[in-house]
Amino acid sequence: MPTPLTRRRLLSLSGLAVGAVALGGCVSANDSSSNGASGAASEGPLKPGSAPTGEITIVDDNTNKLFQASTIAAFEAKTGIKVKSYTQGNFNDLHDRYATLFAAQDSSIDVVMTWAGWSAEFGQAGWLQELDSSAVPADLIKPALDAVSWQGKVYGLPKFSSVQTMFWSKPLFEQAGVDPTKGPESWDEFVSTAKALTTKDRYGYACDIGNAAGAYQNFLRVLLLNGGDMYDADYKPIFNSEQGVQALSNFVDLLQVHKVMDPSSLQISNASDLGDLFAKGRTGMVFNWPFQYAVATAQGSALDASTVGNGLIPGMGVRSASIDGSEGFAVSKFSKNKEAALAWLQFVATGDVQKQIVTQEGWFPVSEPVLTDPASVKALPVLKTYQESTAYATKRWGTPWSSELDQLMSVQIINAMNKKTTPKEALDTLATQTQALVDKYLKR
Amino acid sequence: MSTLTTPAGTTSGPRASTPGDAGRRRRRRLGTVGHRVLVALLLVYLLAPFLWMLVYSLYPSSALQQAHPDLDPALLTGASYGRLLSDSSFLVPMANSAIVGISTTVVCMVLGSACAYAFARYRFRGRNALLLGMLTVQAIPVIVLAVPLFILLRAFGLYDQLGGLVVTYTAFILPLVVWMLVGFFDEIPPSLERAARIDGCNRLQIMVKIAFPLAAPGLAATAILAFITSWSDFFLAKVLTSTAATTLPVKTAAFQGLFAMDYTSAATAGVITAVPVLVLALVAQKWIIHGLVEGAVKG
Repeated sequence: MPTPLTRRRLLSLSGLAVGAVALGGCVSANDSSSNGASGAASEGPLKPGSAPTGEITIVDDNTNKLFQASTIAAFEAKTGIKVKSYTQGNFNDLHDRYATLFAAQDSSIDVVMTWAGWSAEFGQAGWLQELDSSAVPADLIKPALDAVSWQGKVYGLPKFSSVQTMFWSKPLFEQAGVDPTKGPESWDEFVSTAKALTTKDRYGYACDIGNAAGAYQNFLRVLLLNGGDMYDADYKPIFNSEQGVQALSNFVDLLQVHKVMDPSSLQISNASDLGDLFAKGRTGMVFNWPFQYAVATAQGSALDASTVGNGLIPGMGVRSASIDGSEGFAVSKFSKNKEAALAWLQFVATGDVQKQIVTQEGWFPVSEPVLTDPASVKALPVLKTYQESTAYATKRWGTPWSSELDQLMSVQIINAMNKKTTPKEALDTLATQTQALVDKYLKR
Repeated sequence: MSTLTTPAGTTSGPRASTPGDAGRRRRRRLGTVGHRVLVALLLVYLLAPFLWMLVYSLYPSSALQQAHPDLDPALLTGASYGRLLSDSSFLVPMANSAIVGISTTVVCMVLGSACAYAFARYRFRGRNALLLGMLTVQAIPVIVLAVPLFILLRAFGLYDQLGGLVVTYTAFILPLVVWMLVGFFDEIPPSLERAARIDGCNRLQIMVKIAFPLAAPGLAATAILAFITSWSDFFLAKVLTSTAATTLPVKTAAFQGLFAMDYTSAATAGVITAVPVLVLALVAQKWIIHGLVEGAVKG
């Protein structure tokens, strides 16, 4: 006989439902009380194993084809460790998948792809395994290592390095009467060159501010180019400083005053579209990631290796600066085979794999010897500029609040670009919002 | 010729139009024109994204990604459809979506129609509270339940399984199905069922032979809603699957990378995802127009 549904029973059921919801709502990367942070404290940093065995599972984004094509087989042959599965997912979807897997303390994945923002977010939450200094190769390039670190702790090893440099079209420079052998070396030179390149059919400069991450990257770049910075040592936002306001003003002027920035820049939402725009000769100058070289010299491009110019991004208050977009791999805190997982991270960072990253995929290497190897520069001439850029500030400022900051910054930067607000008002508003994020994530 | 005069002294038959009538007609005409313009604008607003997606799927990206898109009909091509529909990495998610969508719809309709019929025909304590409670479930943000769901599915061996998605979607969609169907069953006159009972039908026969056919438009509309909801879900499919049970929306999103976006494939996948929904909506519209309920009541 069915149990009658009394008011008391209904209340009990409602209570259970509310409890279940509350339990679910407690889980977030921002809450160390409901994650593996407590476990992290007891274990200590991971050291390389003597001879790890067994199998591992890897989740990567879809940037690299090399690992699937050859690296996994080479890794298995060298270490005897089997890669049970290697799956690639859309970068934009991985964050939510990771957060769910980590919050559930799932041990089915050993290695996850990471970048500066996620290393900070998931590292702070105790969901990524901290590495011992003995597990970190000594020859790693600093900005690449930053992509897997947060507050002095290393949570992974980089798989490729990526820094923006300037690309220009030599034929368009010639048409505009500008010396094609060298790019502009200061912001004033850059503006005058962009003006010379701008015609009724095309703009001298284009960028990608069409999505949240793009808005952040473009602002951070001009901020660094003017000698500014995002935060002080205590993570107090300082990007609304005089340098920051001037930098954003200069950037807005490209669109609104000098009219040399392609207005479609506000809609371009990824670096690949920007790369295509440049390769088709529809703009004269771009600041882009290393793969721009391969796109510009590919079949069907209006340019080739001899007509693509490449150099340091011209600075405002400093000679140059750039932003970092390196990616890496990290070991899940809940992996059951951490030593084997670490072996994969170390294998990817070796010279052999890094050479292929350069020659086959057009990304910068993470190890110093490969960076300075003449063969690498021959295969990827942009590396020469990257070597020069190491003398200047190159940052990403990946933080646990990166995703939320990107969204907030996108609104303010686009408002400033469209003159709905002044650069100072935009940055002051943003600084207040960012301080709230910092306080939330750093539990102040 | 005589004239019929009403008590009030007015004449019947055609009345000479007055300036006031002409004004009313003008206002009516203007109202009709305004209404049609509004509908046309609304249609453009609703259809433009889909049409642009269709255009993107039919032209080479090189023709569209330039300052002045080249829409020369000679460039039209179905190559991206051919490529995707012959690619197993796309066909498997497509089949997964179909299996999950159909299974969820069938389970929800079988359970939901019986449940809704009971709500509509039986009076018991807590009936309204239960119905309201079902709606409350809909108010819970899905993201809050992602982790508990993941843990549950993993514990039952249903993570990255089509069955896991069907169970999950059923849990979310069934309350909505019940809520909607109660309204449709309530509309059926109880006198019809009493008549059937007098004729010797038992409760099950009444449901199958009287209630369900009369509620057919409602059942169809609800089934379509259930199918569309499960077919197009992205978030739960993203966090509750990995490789084996990937669905079409998740596969479509994968055409966007961190540094690149395959617009043509994404647009083609978008059109392919939308087509079943469009077809179903058109079919349902026809069915509803038949007006089975009105016919039954008149009879």
